[in-house]
Amino acid sequence: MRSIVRVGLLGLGMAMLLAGCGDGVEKSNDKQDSKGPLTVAVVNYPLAYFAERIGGDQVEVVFPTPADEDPAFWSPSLETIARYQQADLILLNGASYAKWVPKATLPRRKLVDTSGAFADRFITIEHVVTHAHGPGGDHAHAGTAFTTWLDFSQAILQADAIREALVGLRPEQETLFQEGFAALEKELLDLDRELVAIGKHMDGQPLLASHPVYQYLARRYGLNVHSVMWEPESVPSASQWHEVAQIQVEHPARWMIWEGTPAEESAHRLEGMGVSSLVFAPCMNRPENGDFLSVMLANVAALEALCR
Amino acid sequence: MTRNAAAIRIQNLDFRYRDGAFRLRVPEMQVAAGETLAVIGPSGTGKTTLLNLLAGVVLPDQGSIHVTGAEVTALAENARRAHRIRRIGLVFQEFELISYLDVTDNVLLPYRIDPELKLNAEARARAAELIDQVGLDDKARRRVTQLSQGERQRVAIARALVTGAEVILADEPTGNLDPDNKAKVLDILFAQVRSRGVTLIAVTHDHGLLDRFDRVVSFDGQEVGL
Amino acid sequence: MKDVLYLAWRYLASHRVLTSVLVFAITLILFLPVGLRVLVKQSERELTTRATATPLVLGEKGSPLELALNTLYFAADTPPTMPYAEFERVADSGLALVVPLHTRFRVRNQPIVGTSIDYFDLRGLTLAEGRQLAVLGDCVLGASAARKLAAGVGDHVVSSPENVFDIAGIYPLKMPVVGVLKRSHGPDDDAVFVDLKSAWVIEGLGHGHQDLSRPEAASGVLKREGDTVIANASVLQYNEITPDNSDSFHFHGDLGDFPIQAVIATPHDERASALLQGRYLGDDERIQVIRPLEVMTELLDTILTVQTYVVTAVVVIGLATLSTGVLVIVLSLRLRKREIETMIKIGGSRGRVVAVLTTEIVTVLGLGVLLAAGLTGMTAAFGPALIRILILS
Repeated sequence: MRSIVRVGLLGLGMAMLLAGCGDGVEKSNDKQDSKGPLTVAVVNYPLAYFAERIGGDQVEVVFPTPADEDPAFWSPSLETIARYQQADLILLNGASYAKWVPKATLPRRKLVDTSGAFADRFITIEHVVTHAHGPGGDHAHAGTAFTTWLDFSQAILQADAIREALVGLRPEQETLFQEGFAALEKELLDLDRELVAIGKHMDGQPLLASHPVYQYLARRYGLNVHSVMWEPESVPSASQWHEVAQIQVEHPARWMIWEGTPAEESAHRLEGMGVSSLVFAPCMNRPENGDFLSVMLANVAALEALCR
Repeated sequence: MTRNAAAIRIQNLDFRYRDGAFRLRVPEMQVAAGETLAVIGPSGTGKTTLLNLLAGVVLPDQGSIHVTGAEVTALAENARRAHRIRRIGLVFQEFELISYLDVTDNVLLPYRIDPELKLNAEARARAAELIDQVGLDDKARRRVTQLSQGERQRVAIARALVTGAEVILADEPTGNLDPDNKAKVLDILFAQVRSRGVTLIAVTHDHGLLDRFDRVVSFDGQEVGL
Repeated sequence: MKDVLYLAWRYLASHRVLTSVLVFAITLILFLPVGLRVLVKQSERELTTRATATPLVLGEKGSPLELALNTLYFAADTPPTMPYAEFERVADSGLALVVPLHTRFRVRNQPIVGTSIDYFDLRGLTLAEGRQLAVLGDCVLGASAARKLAAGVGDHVVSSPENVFDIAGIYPLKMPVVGVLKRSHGPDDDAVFVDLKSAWVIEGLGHGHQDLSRPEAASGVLKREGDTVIANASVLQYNEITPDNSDSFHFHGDLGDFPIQAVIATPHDERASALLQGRYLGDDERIQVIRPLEVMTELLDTILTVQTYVVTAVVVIGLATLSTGVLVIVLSLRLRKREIETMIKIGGSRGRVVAVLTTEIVTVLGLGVLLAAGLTGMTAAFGPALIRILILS
């Protein structure tokens, strides 16, 4: 009798096992199912501006780099990386911009390399220079020049890549995106045209640059630029002044292009060397005043002054 | 000799085996209720056949058999079977117990193999009493294969009486027992039948036991006179 | 009825060996073909479900089965590698969603799957605890891997060296567990997921070390030639990627040349699928494109062929066993002839006696059926795991 009970329990147990199989796999939460604005995460301000101009109210741009950080060398927190992962689209500048990107795990299908169309024309930096500045600490400009948008013909290609990516996600809004892109393209073309004219006028006049971020600008618009490693807010060291003096021998520049307003002392001493200062802000991060276009217009106006 | 009302009455019994090789004829036979009758005679004279006829296992070609008031020869097979299990107890030379059952289950076997008999508390009590009376109280849950031959026959006797049988038909009940056990088993058998007023018909080859019986019938030929 | 059951059970219980043998024989007769059928059905489902969810796989030309098994089940035999550039090529084509796979290494017996975060969406994997992969060095464990490695969020696991005697070989990498996945009842449960680049670090293609331009690393510098610093063997290489040293990690060489085992491609539509497959049809093409469903179906056909033979053999043996069982019962009844005759003789109902004997047979059959059902249930429950062990190990 006991054996019957044992066997019966065993059979019951087997039946329960059968019934208890499987929890089922849950699908991950796909934000694209929602018809709210697309979340577009970007690695620098120019891309944020382009996305906002092209996407309008169809996009919500996420640009989490703090205002006082250089986006190229900033490292996001894990929570911020998670925000990037959850975005509908992640816009990369390309040309090795944003040193954190290669070390982070981002969904390939959401990534857009906005400079892919002209990757064969990237400028390689041959000399590795290590230096320290700002809250980011030491960093080096090495490998590939990354301020691709300062060549406005390239900026247009980057904007077009953004437009194409947005259309891919929201094909029904293609007209809207196309209109946004067309308006932006016109403005970038105007900037490009003006700078081409300025470049022609300058006719190879030697220029100094406070930081090696003007490679594409120089190439596109025929500017004869020699870069040093100065910071606008810092007064150069004696060796740095000496370096500039040495450069001036072969490259007698009368203007230095700065990323931002230089320290008075620096500007004053440069004046003493016969070098005037002008600001051409690369606008990597969101400006305190204005936007990308107003900053670039101001940049162009500053360069135009060289022609007078 | 008629002591009480006849428990068994046979009239004009004529039985032949199918092949016709053997024939048993009993013109007249009566056994009183509570009487103990020994049936003796050489082998092949129909002693066991007589028991089978009385038990209703086989039917005669002619004649009538009354056992405990029922005309066995007039009953259908199932009715004869039912009559047998309730009114007649059988004791065999080879004991014929069920080897995989214990003493109690063997005694209670009739209740389990008859759909009408109810195995209730009363039946269990009767079985327990019989087991005690045959001296096997301490072995009630022992397998019968673990008992001696004398003990097994005692179980058989208890089984034969458990349904309240009025007639016991015993075929060589001591045939397989040694002298000691023979005496003990017979003592128990006779004590039970006497105390309950049960009619006993026993086939035996052992002439030393005959003085225990009220009457002896000898099967010398094919016709028996009683 | 109670009395019939009682007598039947008393008989069976007192003949345990006979009863057990008969029950065992009936169990086998029933279970073998049914259990085999269930196992084959499970195989079919197991092999085709995952394969169906993996439309195309690209890999170096070789055994399609090896490629399929390694991609779907992270089988120990890793196929030849292909360059990462092939993954980029497919990704850039816009024809499919693509996921790279690197499956060379293990943490003890658990496969390390170097991949992209898109893999988790492809397989519908979600987190039970912790967070997703975020930075180089992170690892996320499958539910079974976490149990077998006794590791959870906050713990570390170390990649196993391929060869303990090869001191110049691949160094173990200590990885923080940042997440544990929910159970998916598949091979993903056993995996240790890392970013593809982390797998390359394990392979030695990327590393982190002291900054050689720093004064404190001077002892590690062999010589300087212009902007090039040549390190000596004493330079400290990190075997763990931490927030403090992650910036030092870098790769030498072109990432496009780095090895992967497979690329899973989910074409956007049939046309894209045809175009993608068409790209790799050339004889001189070193890459093969397989449809895992076709490969697994072929494997299944082999299993089904074997099954047919096995079932035939089992049925024949079953019939023989059944015949033997019937013979045993018949002989046993013959041996019990006297017992049956006794019961009839003392007045037992023939119907009752038959009922007792029938109940004995039915009980034996019933126990056999019950056990066979139980074993079939266990096969259904554990079949998928058994299939993976049988097919992949």
